[in-house]
Amino acid sequence: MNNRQTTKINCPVSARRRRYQRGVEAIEFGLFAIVMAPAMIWMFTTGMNFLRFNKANDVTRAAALMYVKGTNMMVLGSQELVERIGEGLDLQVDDGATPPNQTLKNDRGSGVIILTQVQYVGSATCPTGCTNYGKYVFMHRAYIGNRNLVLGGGDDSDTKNATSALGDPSNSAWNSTTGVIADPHGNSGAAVDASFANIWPTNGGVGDGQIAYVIEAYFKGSFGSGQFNGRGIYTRILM
Amino acid sequence: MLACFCLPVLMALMGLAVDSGVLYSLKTKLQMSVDGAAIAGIRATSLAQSVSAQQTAVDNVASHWFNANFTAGYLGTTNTVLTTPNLASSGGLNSVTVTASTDVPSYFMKYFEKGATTITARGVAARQAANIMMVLDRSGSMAGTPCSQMITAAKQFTGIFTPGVDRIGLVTFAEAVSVDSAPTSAFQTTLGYTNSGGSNTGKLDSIVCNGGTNTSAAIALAWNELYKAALPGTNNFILLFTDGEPTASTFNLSGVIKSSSGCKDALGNSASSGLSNFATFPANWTGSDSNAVDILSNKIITFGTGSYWAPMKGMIAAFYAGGGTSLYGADPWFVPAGATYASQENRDKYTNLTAPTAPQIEAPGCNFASATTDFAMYPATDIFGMSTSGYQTISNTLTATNGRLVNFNLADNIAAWARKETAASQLVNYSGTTTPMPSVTFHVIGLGSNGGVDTTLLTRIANSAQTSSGPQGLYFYAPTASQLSAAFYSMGSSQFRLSQ
Repeated sequence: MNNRQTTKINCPVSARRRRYQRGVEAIEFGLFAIVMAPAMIWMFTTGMNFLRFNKANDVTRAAALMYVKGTNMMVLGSQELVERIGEGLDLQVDDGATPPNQTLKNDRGSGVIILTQVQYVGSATCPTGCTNYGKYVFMHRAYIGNRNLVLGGGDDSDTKNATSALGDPSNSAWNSTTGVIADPHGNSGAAVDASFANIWPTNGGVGDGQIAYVIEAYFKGSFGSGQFNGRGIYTRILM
Repeated sequence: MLACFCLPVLMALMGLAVDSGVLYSLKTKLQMSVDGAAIAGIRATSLAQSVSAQQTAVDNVASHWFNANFTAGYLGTTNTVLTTPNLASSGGLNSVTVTASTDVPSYFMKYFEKGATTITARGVAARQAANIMMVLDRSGSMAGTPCSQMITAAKQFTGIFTPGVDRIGLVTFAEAVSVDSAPTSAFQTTLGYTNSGGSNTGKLDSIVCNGGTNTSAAIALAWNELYKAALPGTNNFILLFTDGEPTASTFNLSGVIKSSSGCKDALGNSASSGLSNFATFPANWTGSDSNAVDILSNKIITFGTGSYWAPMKGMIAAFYAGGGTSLYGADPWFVPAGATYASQENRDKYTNLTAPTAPQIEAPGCNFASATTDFAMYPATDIFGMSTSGYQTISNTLTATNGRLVNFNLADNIAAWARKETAASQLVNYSGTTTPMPSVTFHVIGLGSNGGVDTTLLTRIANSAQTSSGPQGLYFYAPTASQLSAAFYSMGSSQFRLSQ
């Protein structure tokens, strides 16, 4: 005991550790790392996904406001604005040609924004009766980004196509240049019917003739973890 | 040992980071939700006539939209509260403010005595009041089902806008053009409307479709009504609906009467003695034909108080030149606002005059049913000063083919002129009065089932492809009359300009 006290007094700390605590730091670090490393990784991935989630919400909100304000979202210029707002989400709206030769194309990138106008057809809208009486119908549909986006994949075998919760108007009814649905009140291919009710949790609220703007967005997640698994990020706003 | 001491601190910091991330994400989501509710709410102001009823409609719609965007218990939130939306109107802006709050649970920080955090979001949707002139084609090709479908669609269109805040007026046109209503905030009772809140009949219901298509004059008179209203703080636009090509335009024909026509004025001067004798025509005209007297007498056509164009007199008439070989003169063309008339057909012909019976202008010795007999050429401009030359190459000869292109040019030119003129902040009218003139946007709906519209012309009028300067409008095409409702709805819904 006396020797140890003497040693403690006379030797520097580093020497004392070398002699009596050699390897303890490594053990401590190991134990510490076992707990902290996964936590740090989880926090990092979660943080990154939170960033993407927030970014996705921001770009969806911006696209929604542009859409509601009457901006033509079927042209490259408008879609490029949305692309820039969504910087970092790999939202791509052109064919990848060298500027300024790009053309609008919706088959690349890691995200897609689906913009839809839906109207309820009642007696005020269709006083003389029509095919889609009593139904919600597509009035307009536009896509920004990759229409062919598939979420998941890789080591996650459970893949999912990034499709609208509303479904799609039939190709024969949808004008791919203007986004306008032909004869939405009379064309059965324009009806969305029950699909809209699935995202509308309350009774009433969409009056006869009133148009609801539904803007949905899918983006691949940074990492497949937690709530933001391999199926990516989905966000939606009704205006 | 140090690690043991640091571990709780690090865990706390990690928890703080994650909880902050959740908090921020939910704040974003809540903001989106109140934005959606506010925008849907302001659209609902069209569903009622009084402010109190509009407030009720806003409350109802905003609540539904908010609940659709932010479902109960979203990501573990509790006590979500949507306060009563605030509807306000001031300075040409109609606004709805929606505020909501929710409690966000703490996943980690609750172990450090930090429970739920309340977040709040506020969304404001402010819509600029609209000042609209509807310009509706009531030509003969619209007769029957298309006419009734147009009336239905137009009433649905007026049902989208907010009484007491927005203003809507009406110009209808065949060969004759009538200003049925200047822009009024009581448009739902004046013109009629239909929406889920109710319906009413009005001037729209009395439209009868018959005659030619005097597009250029209709545009000019609609623009003049917006000019007279002088509401630069509002969203001014002209909604033009037509089902075909323009087939008529309006000229002062006094200067182009043919020498060989045999027409004489009251002093016995004939065109053969020199066109200059007709320079004051018809100031001295007192022909025996009662219709001719009415039409060619020294009547002065005015466009109302504060109009841009000066009162006019002369042999002012609509000159018809449609497709094929049809070319004939000349109908009276203008019906002032507030004029009374026995029927729509009479209004088309002679409404501002007295008891007309003949279909066309007549004068002793003149046979204006045969344009090439009585007139030498097309005037260089119409009565609004627009050139007959333009994007279609023409000559001034009186042929049906040439006349058709003249009508195209005049419709295109008046729209381009209006866009250019209204880009200026001040416009001086004929009497020297300076009026602040807002920018006017043209939106066009074309109906294709009655012989077809000219897409190039209507696109140019709307400036949807920005082929000329000025505001860019929209062009909607409805292939059949049954699709007009959707086109009018789409047009109306695109006009909700939001400032916040």
